[in-house]
Amino acid sequence: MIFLYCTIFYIGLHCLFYLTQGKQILALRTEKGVFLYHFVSFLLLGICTWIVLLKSNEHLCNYIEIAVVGLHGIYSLSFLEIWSLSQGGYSISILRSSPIEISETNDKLLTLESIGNNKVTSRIQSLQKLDLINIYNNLLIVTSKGRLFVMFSAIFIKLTNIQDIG
Amino acid sequence: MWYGLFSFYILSTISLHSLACHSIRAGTIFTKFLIVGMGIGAIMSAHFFILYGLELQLFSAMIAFAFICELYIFFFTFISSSISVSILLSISTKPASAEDICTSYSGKIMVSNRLRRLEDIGLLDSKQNILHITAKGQKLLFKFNILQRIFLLN
Repeated sequence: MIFLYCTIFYIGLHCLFYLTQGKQILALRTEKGVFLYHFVSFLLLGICTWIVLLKSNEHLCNYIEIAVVGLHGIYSLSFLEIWSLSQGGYSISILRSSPIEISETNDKLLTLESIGNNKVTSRIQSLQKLDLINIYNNLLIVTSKGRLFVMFSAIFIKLTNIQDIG
Repeated sequence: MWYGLFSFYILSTISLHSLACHSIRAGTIFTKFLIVGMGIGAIMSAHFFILYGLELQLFSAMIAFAFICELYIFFFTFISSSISVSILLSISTKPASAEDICTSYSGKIMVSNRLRRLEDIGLLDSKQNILHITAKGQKLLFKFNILQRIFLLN
């Protein structure tokens, strides 16, 4: 059980460091930075626990490793989801614009529509950067890496019966 | 034994959730998963408690179960709300030019889709062609502002 207490203590320190020092380190304020901050920590904790367990005579080492990695995983996923939520999204912009009159000439609606238009353009660029889509004869086509992602998404769509995406 | 039972409970959760999504109309995908996940999680914990008592095997099963459930929730919420996934799926069936995509995903359509979704989940309320934020929506905005302050973005 000592491993679990140590993991909880480490997670507490990891979170406290970000909340107190994160604002001073610019790299930790970007999406990539905060992801790496968690991913590297997750990997290091997993590897270090494994090494310590290999050297000890602990007979329940598999369960300890699962619990340690699971605890960090729960913490990191929750942290990253809350962090991305705090960056604001389309829905938050819409809620902030309330009350909204539904009419063709409403300025608020036009502003939200222009945010939407910019979003699509930036998403196409991101997909290209990630090598998920490519341009061939002026047409956007899915790369082999993209096909894998589509297959992965299709499994979840089938399983959860998602009707409306985006 | 532990691994076999654990895999059985994870697969049961995913299968039952899938069954609920295909057969029950009421509720969101997320609420259905919460009900199924909490139910099977409780049964699994009771089963492991009977088998191992208050030991590490029980705690690691509970932690790993919670982690996998959170990961599953992350994937389906990401896929259901992602514009990128929607664009990828559309291009995978029929290649299109960037202009075509921009036309079919115009800001106008995106706004109307999102407004409908926000209305469906009770964050916006329509009265005489004007959409107002509901008390639930205001609570969400309040929580969101707190989050922004915690991460010191403002």
